[in-house]
Amino acid sequence: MLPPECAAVLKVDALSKTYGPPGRGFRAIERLSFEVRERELMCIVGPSGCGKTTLLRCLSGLLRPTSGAAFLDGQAIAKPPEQLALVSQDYSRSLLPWMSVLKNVTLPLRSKGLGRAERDAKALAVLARVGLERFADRFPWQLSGGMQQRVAIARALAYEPRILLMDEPFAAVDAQARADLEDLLQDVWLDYRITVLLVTHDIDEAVYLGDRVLVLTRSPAVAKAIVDIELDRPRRQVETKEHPEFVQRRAQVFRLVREEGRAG
Amino acid sequence: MRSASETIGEVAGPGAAGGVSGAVRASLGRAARPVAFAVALALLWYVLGSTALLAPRGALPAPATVLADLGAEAGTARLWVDVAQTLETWAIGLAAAAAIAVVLGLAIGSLRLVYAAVKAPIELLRAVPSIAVLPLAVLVLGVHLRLAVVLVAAGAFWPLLIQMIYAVHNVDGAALEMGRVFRLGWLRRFGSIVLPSCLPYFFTGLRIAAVVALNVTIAVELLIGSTGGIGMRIDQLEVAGDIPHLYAYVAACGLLGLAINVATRRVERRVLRWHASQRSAVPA
Amino acid sequence: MRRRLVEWSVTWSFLAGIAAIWWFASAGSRSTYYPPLSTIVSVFRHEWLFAHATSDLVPSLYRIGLGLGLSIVVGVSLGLVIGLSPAVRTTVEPALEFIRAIPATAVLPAFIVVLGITNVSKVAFIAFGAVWPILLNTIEGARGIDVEFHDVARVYHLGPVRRLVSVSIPAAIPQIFAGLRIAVSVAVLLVIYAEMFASTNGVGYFTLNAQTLFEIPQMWSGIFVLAILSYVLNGAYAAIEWKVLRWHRGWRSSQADAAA
Repeated sequence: MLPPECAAVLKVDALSKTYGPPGRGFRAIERLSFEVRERELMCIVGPSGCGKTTLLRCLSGLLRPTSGAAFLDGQAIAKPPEQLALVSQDYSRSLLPWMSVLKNVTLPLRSKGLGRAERDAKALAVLARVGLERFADRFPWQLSGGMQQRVAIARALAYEPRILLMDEPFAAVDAQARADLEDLLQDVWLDYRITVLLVTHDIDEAVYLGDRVLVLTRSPAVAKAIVDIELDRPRRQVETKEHPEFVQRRAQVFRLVREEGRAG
Repeated sequence: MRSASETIGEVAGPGAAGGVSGAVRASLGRAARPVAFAVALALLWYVLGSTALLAPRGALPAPATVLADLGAEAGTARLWVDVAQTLETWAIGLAAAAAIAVVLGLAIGSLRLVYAAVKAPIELLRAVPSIAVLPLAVLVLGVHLRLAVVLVAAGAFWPLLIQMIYAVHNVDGAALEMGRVFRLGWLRRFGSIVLPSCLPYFFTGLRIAAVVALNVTIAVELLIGSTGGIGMRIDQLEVAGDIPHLYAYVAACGLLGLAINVATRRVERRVLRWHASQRSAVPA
Repeated sequence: MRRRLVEWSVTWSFLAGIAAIWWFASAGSRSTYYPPLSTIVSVFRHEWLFAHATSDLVPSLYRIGLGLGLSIVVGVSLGLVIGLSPAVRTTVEPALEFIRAIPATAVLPAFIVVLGITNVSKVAFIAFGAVWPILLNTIEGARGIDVEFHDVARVYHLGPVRRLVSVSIPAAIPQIFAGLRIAVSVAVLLVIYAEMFASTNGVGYFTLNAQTLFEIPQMWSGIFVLAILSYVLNGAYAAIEWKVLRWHRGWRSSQADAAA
């Protein structure tokens, strides 16, 4: 838990996104406002189809909001900011299948003006950190789903972003690998001291990983509630999930989400 | 997976205002660029033709002349007789090829050992264009219409056969098992599961075969010169040195090809209304 | 594994069987149009190894090679430009739709008129015919690149050249190769046709010429050469495609497994 005086890395101010002509279109997000603090791991949950992915695409600069804005370190996000990295759900379309794992991780480093040797060294270091240094010369599709997602995370980490956005990164992975990936994320987040904003539909995951959990309403999505998670780090899959605080917060978030799911 | 609405939403926006006149203006605006491009091409053609840069004088007549000639020909019987003859050859050859290819393709695709046996001869024969056999065919069949039809059928046969075999091999295994679980007889399974799922492949093959068939029809007409049709006419015009009319007939071929494309696509869309279309190589 | 072996042996014994049947069935043939296979084979050896190989086979190969090469260069580069830019595509597409609908075989006389009965006109003609499947499939391939790949390029700030080389082109290559496959068979068809119509050398010319001179075994040998030529070219293409698209096969099958 970080003290509230820590600076906000990401500031979302009355962000709205409507698809289609104004007035008749589909309002995905409506005047959503929140902040993500420095070195925080914040999770976003909400009922299905509430616009979580839309939100992330707006925040990553891939989608232009209809009104309102998001700010990264005070700079308005109009197109993908340089200090931002994204890990999406579908690793098979996010990792380039015609390149080896190593090439995939070094690709973003090309825009940082590093030499070949430097890029490779950095990439191998990150791959070692996620436990995949032996697979550097394989193709991503030769690895399991969990491993591919680790490569995607490694790619994002090697890029050394200010903030890491993750869009349901572990949803397409089997449950066992999911637990491993959650712990891996926690480890590298603590190690690299980055800010992480993670969107998930898995409430357990959100409460397990997050410093704070933002609950969205149904579309048009606004911030329904922000729940502080007062659990010590590092958290453990078994012990933490038995802790009364976890149980309580989990129930709280679950109720909030279910309210939204049932409403209307 | 991105939903379609997200991409559509990004494109929508301007154009909503203005009502009907706005919509008309928008579509006129959209049509302007392709038209301008076509005009630019015609201009390029005109320049190349008149300045004898690329070609001897008269080899590239002005587009306006060609169009005028085409218009004039459309008023005479000659063009339509030729078109009818070419279409007849094309249609009979294509139909014959389709009938044989479907039957054989379904059979070969269904019988594993038969497929293994004929796989190699098919790979060899399909690579050979039917034109290659023209000299032999002329000897055996004589310079008749049936020569053209046989060669057209021979050319159109292979893409259809390949697609039908591929289709049978790609029938959804899960659907077939479901049929067996529900104790459907072999014939029933074939008719209700295998055949419908083969339809899209049939149309893919048909599209490719239609193009091949038209090409072969015109090639034979052109080479043999006595089976009638547009091909023969083009050859005659070339020999007579009537270049503008030659181009007019080539343009007519293009329109014929276009009509066939559109018609095939229409039929396909109608028949396959229930089926998500499959990605396949775009034939030319 | 064993089943593969069985199928393989069935394939080759069937082929061998056909060849044997043909050989023996035609052995005593007196028919003018269907000489004994043994005669054809000996004529084949006599004519094509190596006299006519140089005088006829080489020109044909040369025309195919040059025509295909030209069509690849033009087709892929134009196709990428058109496919990657929606504005260009909508401008150009209607005109292309009409030109592509013209059957290639109908255009040969026009090429002869413009460029004469030379190698240039034949190569240009073959290139014109072969460019369409390549161009259209390149456009499709460039259009159909998964949005997610573009997202990666944008988020990680890849420059336009890097994006083209590392993302757009590799993503489009499978579809480009699909077009290439068709282009190879189109090129073979058109070279034979062009040589039969207006040429003084080439395998197509040789075959038709033999027929007019009533040299039937020679004609048959020409047909054999045409068959072998087409088969080898298609086979060579398939081998290249196998190698280049290895990553695509692996990727697709791992996606299929994940979906299962």
